[in-house]
Amino acid sequence: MAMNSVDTSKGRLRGTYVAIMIPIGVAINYIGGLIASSLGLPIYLDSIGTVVVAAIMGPWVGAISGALYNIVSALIGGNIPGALFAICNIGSGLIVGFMSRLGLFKKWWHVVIAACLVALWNASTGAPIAMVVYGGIDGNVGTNLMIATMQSIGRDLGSAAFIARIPTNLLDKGIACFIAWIIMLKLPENMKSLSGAKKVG
Amino acid sequence: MIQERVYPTFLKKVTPGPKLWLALGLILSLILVKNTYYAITVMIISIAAIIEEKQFGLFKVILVAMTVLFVSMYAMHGCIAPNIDKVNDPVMFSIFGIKYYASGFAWATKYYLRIGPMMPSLFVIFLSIDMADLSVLMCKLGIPYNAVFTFIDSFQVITLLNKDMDQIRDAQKSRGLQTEGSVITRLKAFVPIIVPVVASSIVKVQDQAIAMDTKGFNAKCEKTVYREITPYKADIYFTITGIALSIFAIGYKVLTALSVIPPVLTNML
Repeated sequence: MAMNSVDTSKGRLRGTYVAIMIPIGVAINYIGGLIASSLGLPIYLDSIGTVVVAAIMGPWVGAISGALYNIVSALIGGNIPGALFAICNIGSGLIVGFMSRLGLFKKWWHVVIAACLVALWNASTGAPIAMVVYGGIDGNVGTNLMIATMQSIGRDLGSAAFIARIPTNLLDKGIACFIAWIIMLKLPENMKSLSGAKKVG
Repeated sequence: MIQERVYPTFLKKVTPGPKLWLALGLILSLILVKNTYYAITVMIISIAAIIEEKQFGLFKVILVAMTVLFVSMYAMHGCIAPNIDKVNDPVMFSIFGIKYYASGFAWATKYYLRIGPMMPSLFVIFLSIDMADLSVLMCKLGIPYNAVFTFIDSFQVITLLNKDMDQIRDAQKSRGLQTEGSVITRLKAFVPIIVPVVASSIVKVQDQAIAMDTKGFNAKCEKTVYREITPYKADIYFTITGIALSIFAIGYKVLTALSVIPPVLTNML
């Protein structure tokens, strides 16, 4: 039986794909962050892997990949409290995964909606986590400058941390969702069933 | 014949279990005790261990992250920390009209000395852990094989994708990709680098799945491990230190929270 015609949406073979895709999601997140920092970009770009894996494999696998990235990154970098940001990645994986499963990750405007939802989730959860872990100021220059600007016009640190994260996350997660959408368009047929989405026709 | 493993440095000879205990002890003591002198001592000893282990080259990335975090936290918290009372707090100094307060620096110290010492200490501990030995330890602890594989493979795939990224970035640069200049130029350079990296990793998934399945990855029989972890004489000291630090930190936090003892060791906010 040709590999392309095998149903990979369930059973042992799906388990194998899960075991392969989760580390790939982790590695893509890590590499995305490395590229962003080597290019000196003021955004994180460390959730592309989560979104790609969630779009291909479904929400729960995407969420696990995202959470594992934050754990691995915390172990490698030694920033253990930073593992709390796994909450942001889990939400990103669930949002994109469920949209993909419902067939809502096929058109360009689906991607825009997904990016907005993921950005809002990340801003609303990232701000309190940053307050707990870093006291509101983390190592991201773009976000910190916006926080300083917000505070200079009278905002308190908490709301400044939230508002500053909205534009950075919109750009950050917009790029991630866009790249995941491109990958999904070019995916082989037998891998498109991995998300558990109902087949049409 | 099973290949003999060589562990060239002291930390590499220590087995993963004791190192994980020490890591736990350091994490709990740094977060719960909140002592400035202890935090700085841990940082200095960790950096000395990194130099001793000859890993300073790799550590430079962490050092840059620590420096950026230090500058960000102190530069911003020093003037806008939520605990600053701009009316009553004394101004330490002023730069371009921006006033910096001692209470702001104390706020920054509270957060930086929680994360700063952890970064080099955990970096040197985890860098010296042999991933194969760690996977054996996790299997012996009863963690399912699929979960162990997924966790360990994450570290391996990061190394592989890093090499792919370097090759793709060099190839794109030779095709005229601009990676320096304005933020827009650098942002435009990101997509032509990351998309080939992601696409090439996804393309290999199908072949990898076939290879793993033919090697019995999902076979229902129990997995065997041929690798044995060789204990080292320093293991016991690492384990005792890690457990002692953990118990002390948790006990100190509980007793001070219940006001049984005063927080004599805590000198941060």
